[in-house]
Amino acid sequence: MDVEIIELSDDNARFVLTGVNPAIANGLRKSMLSEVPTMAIDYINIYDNTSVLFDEQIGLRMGLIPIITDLDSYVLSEDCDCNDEGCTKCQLTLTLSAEGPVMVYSGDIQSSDPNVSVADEKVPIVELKERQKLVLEAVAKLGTGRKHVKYQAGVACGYKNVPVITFQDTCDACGKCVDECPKEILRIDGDKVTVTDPLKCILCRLCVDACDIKAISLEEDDSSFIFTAESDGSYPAKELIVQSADTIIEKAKLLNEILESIE
Amino acid sequence: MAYLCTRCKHSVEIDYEVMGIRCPYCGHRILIKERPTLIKKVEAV
Amino acid sequence: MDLKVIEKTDTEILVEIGGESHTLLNTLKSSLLDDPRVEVATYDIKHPTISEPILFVKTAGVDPVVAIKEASARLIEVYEEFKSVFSEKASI
Repeated sequence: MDVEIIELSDDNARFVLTGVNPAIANGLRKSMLSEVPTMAIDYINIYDNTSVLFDEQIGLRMGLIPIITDLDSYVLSEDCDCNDEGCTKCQLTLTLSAEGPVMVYSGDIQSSDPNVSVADEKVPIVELKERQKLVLEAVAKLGTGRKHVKYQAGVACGYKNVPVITFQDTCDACGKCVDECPKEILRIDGDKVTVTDPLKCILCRLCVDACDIKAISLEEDDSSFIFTAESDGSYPAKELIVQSADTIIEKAKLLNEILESIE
Repeated sequence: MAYLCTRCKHSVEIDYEVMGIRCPYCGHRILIKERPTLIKKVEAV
Repeated sequence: MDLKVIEKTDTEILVEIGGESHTLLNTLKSSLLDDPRVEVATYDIKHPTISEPILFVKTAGVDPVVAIKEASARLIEVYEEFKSVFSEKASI
């Protein structure tokens, strides 16, 4: 198994994973999307709302705001010792109060925990006109993407196989494929054509169709994957990927423990 | 249920069988249902 | 996760793995099939929202519970390796 990182920023990662079977790669992708615990607002207590939006609409908008997840200090409410009654280990209280005229942004939400806050401060909630008021208290909990999209930390996670473009010896370097390629990754190199960056290939097969003598073959490498992972801000992209692997490990460990006990 | 008259700002009890939807103080016909003072819990879904 | 063994013989097991989804089951299935002693490994989720996944494993002699345990251990190994390789490459 090998990993080659193409790009890694705070909320974006692209890497090539080689030497695993498709099920392992798919497990990683699914885990990023739906199994990594993520903090999101579960319900809100509205004290006053004279804005133009209904309480329920405010509720949805609040729920979809990404919140930085701190797995060291919070646990999933179903795993908490308090039996889902709500304590400081499984719940985070946030407050929001605003009076018009103002545009209310997610950055106006005050968190009761100084280490945890909203991930993006520029998410618009509602515009308040003169004399309009919005006062509410929100309770955030950990959840997984399987339950609701608001708990989905990985928002654009996917992979494709690494393309393998091969030229047969019959290739006469006519250049038709070079002209056709939309990503411009083919280049005439003397009397043959070379691929400059196979990772940029989008598998459109235009080069294969353009070749009159069928000298190009385009295949997918079944054991290499170009991963793209994008985080909504709840986790840094790197941590999201590590956490997704961790989640599967924990599931497998739990399965082993249970099997141990039923034997 | 108390309503609020939009013209005279009086709190109004309506008996619509007797006089219809109308403010008994000023006769205005636009009334607003006021927001209850209790805290409302809304699921963020 | 709660396990319910529906049927078990010396070489076969039919077990319901409650609360899990394709994420674990598909990876586990592929890991089971890597084992040459496992003849059949498959799972089914009858209805995507209301059913729990049911795993079926048939082996050539070995206890299927042991086969599942080993497959799950292999899974842990693979992802642990991924984690260490990825963390190492990402921290450069």
